[in-house]
Amino acid sequence: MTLFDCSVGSSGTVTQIGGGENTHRRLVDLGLLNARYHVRARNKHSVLVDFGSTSCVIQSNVAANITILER
Amino acid sequence: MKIALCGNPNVGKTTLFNRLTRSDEPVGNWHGVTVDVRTKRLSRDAYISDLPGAYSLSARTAEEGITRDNILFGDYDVIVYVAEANNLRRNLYMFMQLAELNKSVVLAVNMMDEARGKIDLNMLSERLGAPVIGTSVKDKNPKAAILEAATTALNKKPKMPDYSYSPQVQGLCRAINIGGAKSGITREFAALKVMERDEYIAQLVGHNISGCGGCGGCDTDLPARLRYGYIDRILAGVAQSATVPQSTLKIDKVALGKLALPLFLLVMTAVFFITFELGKPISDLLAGLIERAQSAVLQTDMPPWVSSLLADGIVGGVGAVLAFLPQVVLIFLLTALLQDSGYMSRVAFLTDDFFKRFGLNGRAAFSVVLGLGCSATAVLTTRGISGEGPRRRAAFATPFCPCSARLAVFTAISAYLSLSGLAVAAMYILGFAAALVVLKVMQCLSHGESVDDELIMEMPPYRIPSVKRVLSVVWHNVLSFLSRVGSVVLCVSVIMWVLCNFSVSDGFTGGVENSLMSTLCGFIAPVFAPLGFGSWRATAALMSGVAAKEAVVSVISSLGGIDTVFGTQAAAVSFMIFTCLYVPCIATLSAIAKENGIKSALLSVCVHTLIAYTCSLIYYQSAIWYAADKRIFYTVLACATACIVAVTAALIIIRKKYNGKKIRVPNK
Repeated sequence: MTLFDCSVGSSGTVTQIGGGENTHRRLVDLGLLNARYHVRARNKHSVLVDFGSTSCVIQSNVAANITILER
Repeated sequence: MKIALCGNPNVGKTTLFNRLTRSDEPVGNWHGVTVDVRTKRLSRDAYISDLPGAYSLSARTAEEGITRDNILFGDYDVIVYVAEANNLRRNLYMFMQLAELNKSVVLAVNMMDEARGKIDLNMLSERLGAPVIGTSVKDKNPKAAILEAATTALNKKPKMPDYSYSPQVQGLCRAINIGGAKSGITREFAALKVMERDEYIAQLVGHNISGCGGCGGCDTDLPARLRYGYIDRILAGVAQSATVPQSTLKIDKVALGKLALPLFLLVMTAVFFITFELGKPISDLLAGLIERAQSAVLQTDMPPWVSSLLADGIVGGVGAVLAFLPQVVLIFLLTALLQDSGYMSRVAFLTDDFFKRFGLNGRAAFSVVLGLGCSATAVLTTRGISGEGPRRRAAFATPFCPCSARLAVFTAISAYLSLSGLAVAAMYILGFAAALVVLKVMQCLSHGESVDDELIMEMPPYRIPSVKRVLSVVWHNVLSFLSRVGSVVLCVSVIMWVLCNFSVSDGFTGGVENSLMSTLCGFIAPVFAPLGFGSWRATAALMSGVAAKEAVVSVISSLGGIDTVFGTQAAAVSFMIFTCLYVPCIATLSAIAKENGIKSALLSVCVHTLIAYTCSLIYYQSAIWYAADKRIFYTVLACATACIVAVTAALIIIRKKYNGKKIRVPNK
């Protein structure tokens, strides 16, 4: 299951990060690997996710490459 | 001593820079406000440079590249690394890279007043081996503390992180030759970047990584895991882990919930309503005062040409623009409040789907909002948009969004014609619509290349707007507006006055009919005749607008007012449409040239002129038809509407039919 499949309000842990080299690098640099997430809002092309004290808007293509484990 | 101020985006670097140097550089509660390096004197022998925000030394955008290059190759003695108190874990990630580079660093933990939990700065300093200071807007100016810490840092470099000595890193260190690279790179840093497959650094140290096809055998995440593992050990017992503030979560439930779009439209309507309706009485009062000053000058006992120059050229010309200062102040104030509260970042999220249709993303919303103030600034902020194509397209189309200078023209004409604020709002809609059409066409021409979909945008928490910060933003922008009025508009007004009151044969004419300007603009004026304003006066006003759009109002005023310049209502509205869309001012054109190159700036001149001419022509010719025979007008309008509906429907049907199917082009 990926982050983009999550509905608003779902929480869990990021287990794997895929995607292109740049995106992968940025997500890993942001410390998202193994981070806890909470989906706050979403629209057609992006999701707003809280990772601890950081909130990020993540595009659908990117979110679809983030594998999660829902709590 | 040269100091660089750097850190993650939106951690308050520029706010700190402004406090330290008593400057007024633009700030905002969003990422990517600073797009270039700014250097100011900090003390008698210290200079400080504010670098754009970056998450790490692996650059993804142009502004991150500026920061990376400055840190790697800049001749800074000390780096003051600004971190946000509530985001220490992520913020320390880039700090670790500075430690790997063996740079002299001071850690400034900012927003200490907002810290959700205690932070032991002394223990943090001890563990990092670098000076650490706490800063907050509520505390006194940290200049002395930063200078003292910077002096300490000169002789005390942070501890090399322990992971640098791990077998994997040291193994690669031995394989890397940094001899050919510029100074400023250590083996450890280069090794970790090569492990991450950072092409820029690998190329710099002459290490070939292109041969490795990413088979999955290498662990490119290892450096990040090592760094975060080290950061977690450093922060254990130093700071408590924070979460998103409850207030932000509650507000976002409404602002990003089902009512998000109506709320956004309501906010934008309120911004325009307050700007025009509250600004108008003050504007009228100012206009009255300027008129009085003009008549007072005319009544003095000075030679006619002197009193004419003072009254019409200077007081009248500059005053005509100054009368719109209340509206300009209000629009800056309201947009600054929205920015500082954090709502603008939500707007970027809300408008993301919309901008996607035009090959951009929600990040473009920042440039659009800034464009309401100044197009030149807005063009520069497009640097934050990832992807070269989308960034160039955004820089090209942003000047179509009407700036505050054009607002002065709209307000002047619509007030004279007794048109309500709706006419001004219509001009804004027209400007935005033109920008979207241009974006769509450019997207199609670039073969549907859409924005770099790898956007990850940080969403700041809501904050109560700081009065000082908001006033600073307003002051900065108003000062820029006034300096343009005091320089460009004043010069244009005086030049226009000379051209309008002198002729080659008679010298000072005291009138405009046989002036130099009437002769010069008389040649070009016929071009605008089909648009309804084919007089030399209107042409002169348009020409002056190329220097600065504020000058248009000033010139119209000095040439006898709207009635004399245009003659009819339809011509005045046509002129307003043309002004809304035509060539941006010199400052904006130079910003486009800087961002996209000179060819793009020249193309911008052509596209703006073409679109402005077409729209004005359609409006004016329709107005003439309407006045001549309403029946014919409605018939033509109905036919045109039917054609547009039919073509749109056909396109939708074709799109649905071929949706998902590849159309094969047969071989010849």
